[in-house]
Amino acid sequence: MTKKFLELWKVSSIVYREICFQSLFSLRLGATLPRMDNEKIGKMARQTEMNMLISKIIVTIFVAFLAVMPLGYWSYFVWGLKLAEELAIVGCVSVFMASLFFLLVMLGLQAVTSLVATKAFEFLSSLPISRKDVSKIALLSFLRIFDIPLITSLIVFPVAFSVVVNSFFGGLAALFVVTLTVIFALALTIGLAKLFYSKIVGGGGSSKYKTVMRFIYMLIWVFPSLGIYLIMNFATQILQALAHSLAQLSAAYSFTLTLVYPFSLGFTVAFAVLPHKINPVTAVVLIFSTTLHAILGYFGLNYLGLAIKRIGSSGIIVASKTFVKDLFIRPRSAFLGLIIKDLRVASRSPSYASILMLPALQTVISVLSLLSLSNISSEFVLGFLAGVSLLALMVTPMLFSAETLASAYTRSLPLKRRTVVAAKTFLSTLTYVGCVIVLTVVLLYLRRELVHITSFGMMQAVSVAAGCMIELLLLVRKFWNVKLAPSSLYTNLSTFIMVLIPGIILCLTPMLACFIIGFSNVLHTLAIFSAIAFTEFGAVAALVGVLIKN
Amino acid sequence: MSELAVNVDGLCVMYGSTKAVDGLSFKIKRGEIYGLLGPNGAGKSSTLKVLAGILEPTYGKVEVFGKPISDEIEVKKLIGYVPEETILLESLSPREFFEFIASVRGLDRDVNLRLHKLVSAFELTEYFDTPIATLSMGTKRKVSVIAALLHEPPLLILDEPLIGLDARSSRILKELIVRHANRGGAIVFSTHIMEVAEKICHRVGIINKGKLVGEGTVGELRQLIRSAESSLEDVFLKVTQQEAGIRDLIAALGEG
Repeated sequence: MTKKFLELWKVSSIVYREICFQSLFSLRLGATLPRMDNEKIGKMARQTEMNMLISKIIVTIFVAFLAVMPLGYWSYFVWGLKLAEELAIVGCVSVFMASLFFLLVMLGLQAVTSLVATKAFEFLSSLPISRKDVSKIALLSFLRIFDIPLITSLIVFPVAFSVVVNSFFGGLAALFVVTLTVIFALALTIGLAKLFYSKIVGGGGSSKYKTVMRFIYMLIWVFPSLGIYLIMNFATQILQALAHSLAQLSAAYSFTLTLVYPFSLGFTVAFAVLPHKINPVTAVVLIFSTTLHAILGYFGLNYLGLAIKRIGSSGIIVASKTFVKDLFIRPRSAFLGLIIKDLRVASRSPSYASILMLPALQTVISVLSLLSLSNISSEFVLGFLAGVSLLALMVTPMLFSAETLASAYTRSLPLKRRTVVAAKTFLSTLTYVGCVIVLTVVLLYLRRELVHITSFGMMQAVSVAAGCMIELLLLVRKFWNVKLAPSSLYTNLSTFIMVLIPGIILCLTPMLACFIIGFSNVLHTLAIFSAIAFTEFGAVAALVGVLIKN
Repeated sequence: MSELAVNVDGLCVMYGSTKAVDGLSFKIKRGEIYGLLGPNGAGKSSTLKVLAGILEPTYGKVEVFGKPISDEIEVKKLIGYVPEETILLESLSPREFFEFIASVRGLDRDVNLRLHKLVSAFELTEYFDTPIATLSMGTKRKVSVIAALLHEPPLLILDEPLIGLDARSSRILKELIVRHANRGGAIVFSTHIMEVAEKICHRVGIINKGKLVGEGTVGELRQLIRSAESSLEDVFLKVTQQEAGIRDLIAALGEG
């Protein structure tokens, strides 16, 4: 049994390396891309593994922080709010389960896109390996993508929890519920991705229904990001609200929560630590609920292996012949054609779609914050503009990398690089402008002061355009000129960061100037703000004109 | 427009220290079908990628209808390219893909007439709104071929265009190639199917290890190896020095 597992684990390492290599660099020898010599490929492969390790470490730090954070509130729950110990346990465990759940869905999203793109398991099915083993290898390879963060979540929280509550059984129960959460999160991600690729991306027809469905799915992909964002930014408020609710729990309410995830898992742990404090009826329901969760976990695990294998061997996307009403196409200008193409490509991949929706997410959060504010401070204005600008800057590399290998084909077309830069800059800036318009409309509706947001927001669009343009200048020079596929920049962190930094500097400079000057004379500040933004834009446009020949 | 469709002179392509194409020179006239043959890794695809503007030559002169290959946009307007491996924008449907291609190439709505004919000829109608990712390799190749023909380019660059195509589509493509040449267009294509090259090519260039080792009509190549009865396959094996020992190898494979 152990020997077989070790064998499967070994095979999964080969598959995993292939997934990393292909998803990070999208290099396939003999493809449309130029070939490379062995030395360069070897260097890239090593760099790939290093990038992947850096990504894992960053995520691991994040997981460890999330694992320790709720336990830090233990004293606040028990001593500050005088909450019963068992309810404090429910609070701590539930918050971590929710954060871990959202984080894993977000990570799974990125990984699953790589699986679909690389068709990593296609070759396994042709080897003399049983279907069951292929599924197991698929699952193990998938888990390897975030092995360090997963192991961290399985160790840090249970250990820290058992120390804080001084209970070995508590630690074991925490390990059990963390495992269940990992399975639930990954199964949900894979299930949604499967549905997305089979029902929305696959199949025929170009109906409005599919466009609407794609938009809904884009919102779903943003949901985990929103969850993480809310937990990180409003952790104190969430915990306070949760603690107050728990403190005032009626028996019926408490009874219901034992069945609702993630509170159910919180109660499971509380029961393991303090069994005598749980009333007999609740205990019976809890045993039933825990058994149900365990069964779901078991089926979830089996489902994961099968579904991952299908996704990684393109088994979910099947061509279907459809009734085609006409064969008419509507050519536009190259600029507009590029924008429409980029929007279509980006909205059909879960990971790209989630990045495209990030500025909108920031707007939703700002609107939520706005509702609790009595007056709009200059700090709020600058904070909102900085947040949306930075997220718009993340859209640009995504638009550039979304074509992956097909970028080689695009290069055989008479497409001016300046048109590429202009179209992608326009689209990225549009995501920013859209958010400013939405917030302006909300302010108008709420009859709040909107001069600052609208005036500074629109001027900031010029700076955002300059930031996007400098990113594209770097990307075009790095990837297009050396004839490389851009690949997934999101996972290629070092390149991603190097490209983002100049854009961030450009976007923050006018705001920093504002911050230094102050808002005592708004017109004066706005004039300086605009002058900086337009200077940046002019300078970058001139740079593009000089460095990109056509 | 120049009578010479393609002029390659001393083309050299390097991948690091590896020389993929080594001083290659050939010319293709208008109305000519030029076949590029060679064993795997001979440098055929690299040569075609340079012509298509995907790859920059390390050294050498390359002109398309008298325009230097460095005049990137102008040259690409004159070209229709079918890559060896069909990697297109997979999440788009053929309709959306053709819309993008037509937009980039600056075509107007009149393109629909030609598109309709090509889509019907290659039996792509029922997959017109299906994502390219879901199509079979052969159907993807049809999409790639139609995209290359959409703007009626004077020069067609086809890298192994018949791979994956069914017999019907293969016949149609060959017929389109011949008609394109008859109308004054030029075609350069690589293939491993000797019969096809023998049947439709006006001239053939044989590349081995990045160098041109034989060029001419099939008749001229036969004279090169001094055998009037030889097929193009025999000529190919002879000039690429692959013939020697091939019988012994086959015999050895049959033993045991």
